[in-house]
Amino acid sequence: MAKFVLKRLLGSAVMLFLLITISFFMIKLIPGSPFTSEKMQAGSKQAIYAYYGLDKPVYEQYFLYLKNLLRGDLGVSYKIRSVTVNEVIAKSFPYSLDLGLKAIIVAIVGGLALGIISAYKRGKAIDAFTMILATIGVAVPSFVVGFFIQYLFAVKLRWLPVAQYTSFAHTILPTFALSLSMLATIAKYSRASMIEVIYSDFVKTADAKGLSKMRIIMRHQLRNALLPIVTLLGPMIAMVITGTFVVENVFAIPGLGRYYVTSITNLDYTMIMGLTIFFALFLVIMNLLVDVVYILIDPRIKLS
Amino acid sequence: MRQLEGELDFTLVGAREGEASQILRPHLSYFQDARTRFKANKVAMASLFVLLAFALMTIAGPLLVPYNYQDGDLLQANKGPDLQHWFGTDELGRDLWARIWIGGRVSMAIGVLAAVLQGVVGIIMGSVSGFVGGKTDLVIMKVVDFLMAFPYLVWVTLLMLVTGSGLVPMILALTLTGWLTMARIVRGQILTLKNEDYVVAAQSLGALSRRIILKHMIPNTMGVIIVTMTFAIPAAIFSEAFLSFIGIGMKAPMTSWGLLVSMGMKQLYNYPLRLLIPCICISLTMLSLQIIGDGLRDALDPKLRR
Amino acid sequence: MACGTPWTRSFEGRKGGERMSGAMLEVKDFSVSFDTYAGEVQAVRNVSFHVGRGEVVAIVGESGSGKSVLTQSLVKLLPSPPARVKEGSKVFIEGVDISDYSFNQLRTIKGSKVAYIFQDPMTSLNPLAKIGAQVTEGILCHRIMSKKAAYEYAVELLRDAEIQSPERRMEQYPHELSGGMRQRVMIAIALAMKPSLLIADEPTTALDVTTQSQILGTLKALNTERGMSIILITHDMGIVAGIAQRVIVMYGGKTVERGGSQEIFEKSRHPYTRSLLGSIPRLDADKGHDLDFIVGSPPDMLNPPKGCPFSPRCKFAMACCGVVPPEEITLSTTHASWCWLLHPGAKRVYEDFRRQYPDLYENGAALP
Repeated sequence: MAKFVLKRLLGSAVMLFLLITISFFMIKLIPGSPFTSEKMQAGSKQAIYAYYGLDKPVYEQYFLYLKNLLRGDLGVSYKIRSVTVNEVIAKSFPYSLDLGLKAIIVAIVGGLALGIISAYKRGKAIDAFTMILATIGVAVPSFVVGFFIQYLFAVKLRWLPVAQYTSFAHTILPTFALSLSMLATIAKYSRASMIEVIYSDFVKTADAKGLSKMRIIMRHQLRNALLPIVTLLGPMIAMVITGTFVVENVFAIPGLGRYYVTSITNLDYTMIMGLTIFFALFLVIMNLLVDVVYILIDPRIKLS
Repeated sequence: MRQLEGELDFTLVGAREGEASQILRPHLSYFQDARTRFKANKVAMASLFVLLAFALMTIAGPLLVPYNYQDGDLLQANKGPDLQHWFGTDELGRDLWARIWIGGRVSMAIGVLAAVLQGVVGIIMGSVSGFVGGKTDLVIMKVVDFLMAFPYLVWVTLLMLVTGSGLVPMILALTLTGWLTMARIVRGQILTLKNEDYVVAAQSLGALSRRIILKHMIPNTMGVIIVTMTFAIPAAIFSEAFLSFIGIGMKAPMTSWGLLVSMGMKQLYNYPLRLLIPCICISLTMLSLQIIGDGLRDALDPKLRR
Repeated sequence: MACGTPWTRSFEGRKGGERMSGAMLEVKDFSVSFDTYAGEVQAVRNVSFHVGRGEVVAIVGESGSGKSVLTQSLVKLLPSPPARVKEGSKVFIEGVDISDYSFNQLRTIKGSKVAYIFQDPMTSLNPLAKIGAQVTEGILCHRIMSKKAAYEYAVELLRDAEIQSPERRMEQYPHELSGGMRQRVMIAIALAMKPSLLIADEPTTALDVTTQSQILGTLKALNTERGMSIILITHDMGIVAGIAQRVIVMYGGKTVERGGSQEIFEKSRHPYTRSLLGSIPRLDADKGHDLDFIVGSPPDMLNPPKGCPFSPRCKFAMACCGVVPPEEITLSTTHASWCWLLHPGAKRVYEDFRRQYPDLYENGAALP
């Protein structure tokens, strides 16, 4: 297991390195400079360029960047005065983390509940509801969902606050908007998995042994049906990350996703780079954790 | 034993099924059978109808009104829906009906074009990888794995920052980043088929590779390709909407549904229709494509064939 | 907690299959349908049979004949929508009517009186649970003995089922065992609570011939040494001869013939049974002798044919066969057939039938 983790870490490090390199040089290719929109005299422009190290040749800038990275320094924002990327992350990541966690929990609990109940009550109303919700949840984009519920519940009905993230009530709409597509996916998959398990032979064997209903459901049906769902967690984390870009914008939440979007609009290169690297690192670590957990709980997997 | 002679006829009739069963089922080809099954799927057919209706409106819609999507009459600004302007006007006096449907042209065109191009690149990469195997396969798959490790939108965003905004750069960016799924699926299909018993059997009977490819591999792969491409269209539409939403997609004066959403967002309080109408258009289009994709997948699944 | 419960008392006293009065299993007028969105699929239609103490009864039929559905529905093992046991179906275990038993009442029967072995050992075991846990599960759930005692008992069970190094196997997972070994684990699981009746549903179909004969040998030993009643379900007439005392032939959800092993093999009086027997390749047949196969395909149980279910494929079908279902015609105390050929009015066609399918050993002499 330790060897597996090490190998994966090494592979991920290589991929991250490639990502950093590729994005660094791509950003350098962008026409114009981050300061073109600002009106300055020629002298001050030179001074600013020197300050940010933009007057050096590209390769030097690259190695300097890498050196700083290894120290954990993601650089300084070009657009927001005297603020480092690290500070921005530290300030806004907690919001995104809170939102993301809530969304994942809602998606898992809601999706599993709907999926499992629908599997047992096939053909009944709850099953139809789940299938419809699943189709809509997967197809309709998160910003549409976000705007709809924002308009309906916040603007028209005034039941919930429109935007920002200051109280618990504020978190309800964004969490729902972010979690819907994942909830739909989990519901669909867990329902299918559950149905397959209910009709499988080993459940019949368990029944033929005279076991109690509870035991058959818990030890044989649920465990086997839910195991494959764990594999969905990895992609879901990626979905949450991209989802926050949209949802935080819709609901004006000062999280990392929103900063990413504004940094793109403002062409704040270091911010874009820094946030991209941060997201990538986060994703890689999460995926590794999910894979390790899966290997631990499925006895059929051999690490040879 | 009860005496039933009066009711029982003991003349020999023999086995009825032997000859009859051959004629009973007409020979349906794979695609004919799939088409029948799809047509029987009422929800999918309804979605197809909805989709075609939208497509029709994007073509015909703007022609129904005398207004142009670009020119605004400031005297007519900020009107709600009325007999003259069916969807109302925006702050510059531009007719929203025309803008919605022109925007629809752009969004749907991007969706279809990007999906097709992604598909073509994916098919090529996947087939080469699957057929040639060896080092080529390894390299291509490593590239796919690397690109897939990070969220798709991040790649597209980076690319678009470099290429700048606009229709062509967007299609280019979407194509360059969106071929991964198709490549993996096609490669998987080819590898499975390569080892299938009937391919080995055909080879042992002396069939040429080319014949094998044509008669066996392509029909079996076509189904998966069609389904994957159908799902790729709404994904492309979403990507366009997202990119325009964050400002690096389409730019004025061109318009697209995504751009309309991003502009309408700022006026949710005062003029909600400007946001809601493009949202509904995007949702219904993506939803119907999703349902059609599911329907196609079910129709083309050989295991469900009767 | 482990001792003194009703379970333990009856458990210790039993060796499985000891003599008591009455038939082990009695089934009367049993029908099972599936409610699907396409309609009602009548999988089993009015079947009656019995299994005596210490008897091995084979139920023979092709896929779709209803044999698995029949036996699994006796203790309601099939998920209840869509399966449905119809009104009027009766099941008696050791004289007790269990037809209307609830799930919890059936729990006293499942495993301890009636046990099952299923066809596919690959899918019949829980892939995520260790072998040891699966063998001891029934015993521990019914609180028959302590964990430690159950463990040792399980090791003995595996050993009895001819599994090598059973202690090691206890800690393994199903995917680490071969097909034959998994089937032996199934046997061990089935025997764990000392049932009186074992229902083996195509236990050897998924295995190779050598393993097949080993498993059959194990089953036969269970019958001769422990007096266990066995229902053996199969589509292969070849394995029936060595082990079954009685045979029931099913087609299209109905019984078409029943009798003692010898009676069925030597003087079957049903066209379907005869074709089943004829389609077994024989080493002593002439070279030019064609393998007797049956034309057509199994009936559609959504719209079962009126009358005899086999009539569409029967060479000797008469006009009445497709219209009126044949009645049970008794040929001896043990032998009966459901076929209009045996009606006195069908003499001409019956003679053709007898000419095509003569009996073996008629009048004590072997026939060419």
